[in-house]
Amino acid sequence: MSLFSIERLQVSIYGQPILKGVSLSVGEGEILGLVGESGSGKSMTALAAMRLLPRGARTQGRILLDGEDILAKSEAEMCDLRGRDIGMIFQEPMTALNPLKTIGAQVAECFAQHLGAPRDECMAWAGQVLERVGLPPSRFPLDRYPHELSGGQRQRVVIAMAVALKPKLIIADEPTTALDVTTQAQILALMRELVTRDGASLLMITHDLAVVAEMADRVSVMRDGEVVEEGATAAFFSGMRHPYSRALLAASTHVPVRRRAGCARPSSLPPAQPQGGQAEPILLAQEVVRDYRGRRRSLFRAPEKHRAVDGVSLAIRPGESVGLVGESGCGKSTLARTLMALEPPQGGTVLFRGRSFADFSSADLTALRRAVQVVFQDPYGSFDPRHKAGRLVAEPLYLLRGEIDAAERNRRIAAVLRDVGLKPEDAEKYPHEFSGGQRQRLAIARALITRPSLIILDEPVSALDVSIRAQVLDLLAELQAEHGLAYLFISHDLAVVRAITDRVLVMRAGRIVEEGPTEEVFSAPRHAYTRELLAASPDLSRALAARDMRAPTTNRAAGEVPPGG
Amino acid sequence: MSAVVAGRQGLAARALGHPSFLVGAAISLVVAATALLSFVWTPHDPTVLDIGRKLQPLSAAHWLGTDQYGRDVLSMIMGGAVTSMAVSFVAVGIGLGLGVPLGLLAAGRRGPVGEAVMRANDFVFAFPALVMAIMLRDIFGPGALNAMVAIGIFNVPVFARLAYGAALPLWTREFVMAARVAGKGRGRITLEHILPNMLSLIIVQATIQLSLGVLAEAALSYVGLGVQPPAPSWGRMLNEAQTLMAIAPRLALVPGLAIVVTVMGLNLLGDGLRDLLDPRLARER
Repeated sequence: MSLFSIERLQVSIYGQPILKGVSLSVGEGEILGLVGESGSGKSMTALAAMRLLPRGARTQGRILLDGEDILAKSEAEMCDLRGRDIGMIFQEPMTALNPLKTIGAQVAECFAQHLGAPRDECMAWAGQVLERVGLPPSRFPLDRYPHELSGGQRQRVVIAMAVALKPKLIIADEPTTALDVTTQAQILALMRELVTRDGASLLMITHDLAVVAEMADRVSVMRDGEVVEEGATAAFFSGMRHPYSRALLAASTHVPVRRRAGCARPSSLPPAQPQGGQAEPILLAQEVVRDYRGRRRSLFRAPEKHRAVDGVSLAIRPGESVGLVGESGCGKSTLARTLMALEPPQGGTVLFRGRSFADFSSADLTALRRAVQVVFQDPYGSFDPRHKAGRLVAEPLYLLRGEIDAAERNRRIAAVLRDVGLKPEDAEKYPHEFSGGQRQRLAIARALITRPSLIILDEPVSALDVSIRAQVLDLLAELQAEHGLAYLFISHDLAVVRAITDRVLVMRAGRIVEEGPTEEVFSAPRHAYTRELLAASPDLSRALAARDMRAPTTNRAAGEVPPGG
Repeated sequence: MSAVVAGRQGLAARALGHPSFLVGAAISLVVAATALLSFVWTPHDPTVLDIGRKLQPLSAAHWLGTDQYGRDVLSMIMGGAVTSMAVSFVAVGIGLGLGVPLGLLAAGRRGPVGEAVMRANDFVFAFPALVMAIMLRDIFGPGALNAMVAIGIFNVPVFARLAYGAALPLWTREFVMAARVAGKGRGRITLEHILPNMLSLIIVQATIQLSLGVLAEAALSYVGLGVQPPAPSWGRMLNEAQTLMAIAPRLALVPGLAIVVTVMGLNLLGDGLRDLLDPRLARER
């Protein structure tokens, strides 16, 4: 019998069905990967198992832990059970920890709550648990506060709280989504190690098939509140039955077809020189330095400086696609803002078609803005919620004021909306009426409307589900070929950068540590940091290969065929 | 943010289902209507003294009786509503007109300019309206203008801080960044994106400041720094009634109730508007 099982679970919130008969089971010591895109109901399933559903939720079905129905328990019994029998790891370590309490106190609280032990004893245990998750009290004293730790270290504290009482089941809801790839690899390794050592079961919720391939013994795929397919990991990946699983796999390994500029339909733009070569760069950055003023520690001392970009040089030529990869906080976005002349550099120069930003007249600035547009990460935050799509998309036409009339303006709005796969009628809608993917298409339309030669894409697909991501990448590749655009593609996601760029720069702590043609850098990285990044980033085929290697000895699911449903 | 716009369609429906908004709006409308009515009709002239008819009890001729000088109390209350409303509206107008642009300026131009603006605000904030009125008396002399300007100046930093605080996070939003990439300047972005996105906050605060203005006007009139006789004022009615508390307590109770009800009405209206307009609360629904 499995340790934990959910049988025909139905959840509705204020009458709206969210889960429509979800069944899954986790065997003792087993890792189940629960995969799905946003809105599929995977987090709701986890919350239902913890009985932490939002107000207005109604539940039907059974959730069994060790043969006992969780849904039949009283709230007092649930308080006892949460943390002791089921531990939970949340996505966002910053909000999962109380910023006012030390890490020791937060972990000790688990012991105090469930065992009622004296404070000193609880603190001593907390120290032991933190040591197990890689935060030995000798280096990370118990009286540290969450803000003194990095994101990965905070997530270790969250994990420590989840495993403190050696629960039988651990539920992890996107535990590494908010983390950088190198950190993600460490956290995944830690979780696997803890689960193996304590013999606990793990329900791992994620959108990332590569993570599942690396971690899980079995996989369940969710879509629209239902489990559409489930099976042992190896078998699942080798023979997917449900079309949705296959679509998900195809999307996550999707590489857009990139045509070269000029082979396509005649474009309204002057023909771009085929990528790179010796053409004059659109943007040329030389030894750019960006400092941020830190906090002022004393009235009489100058505030500390934080160097976000430290002597970066790069050139972007017409029609080429340049990738900029690096982990969060490495200065990618700061560099992007400098290249767009939104913030001045403290050192070095940026040249636009040979003219330095420093000697710009306002006409030069207008010319730059027309030629260089931008797409941001957040499809929700990049539009003023009070304006209609047409007005939002047309905003950059402000740069052409006096040059084009209302008719031309409307023609252009219709044209760019069609270009990005939306309908001209969509101009009358408000941003909230679009889905995340459609909104990102709108953002691309807005960037296209001045007919720029370069678009800076700052994590343009990071907030999107894999299937939407694949579509947006296809669109970007198509638009590039059609309009001869140059891209500066900023991302932390190596797979995406590999798929869509010709040349790549690897950035770390404000410096470019490696650059070169994308394929060369990825297949034969020279710098240690690039190798580390590549090794850490989850890769489906590599994970499956590694799984085959491990299979004879450690694939714990092998001997245990789970009961269906 | 989508809930903001989505909630908009149901705004009227939600307003009708919000009791404190309804009560607040009703009281505010009654007070405003009373003030307007007093321009064309009051039962008697509130400024005419008639010692022969002093301290008359409630009657058909004088619904709320007369005071120690024989003035009709109801007429004085109606006239006092005009004073109250006029002073607090003008004071809020001064606060909005100066404070919001200053706050927006400080948020748009951080650095020395913004810093100077906000520190000057802190300085002004240190003076309560009463102290301000005493100082301004030397310039304007006691009177409605004095009260308006004093309360108005008191309102300026309130709105400046509100606008500054609301504008700062908006400036870091990506849609503002996108507007900058579209070549728009700070002023235009402020008008097109920043101000509209904080308008509901400002409306709510303006309502609350109106009620504080009513209260402040009464206080200033009470100590003789507000509207001068013969113009009627609730604060001065209180002042004049206090020696007669033992004989005719209604002379103090009536203007006191007028102040309390008006302030309560405006506060309820403000609370209601906040619930209805505030995006954060709307999202939680």
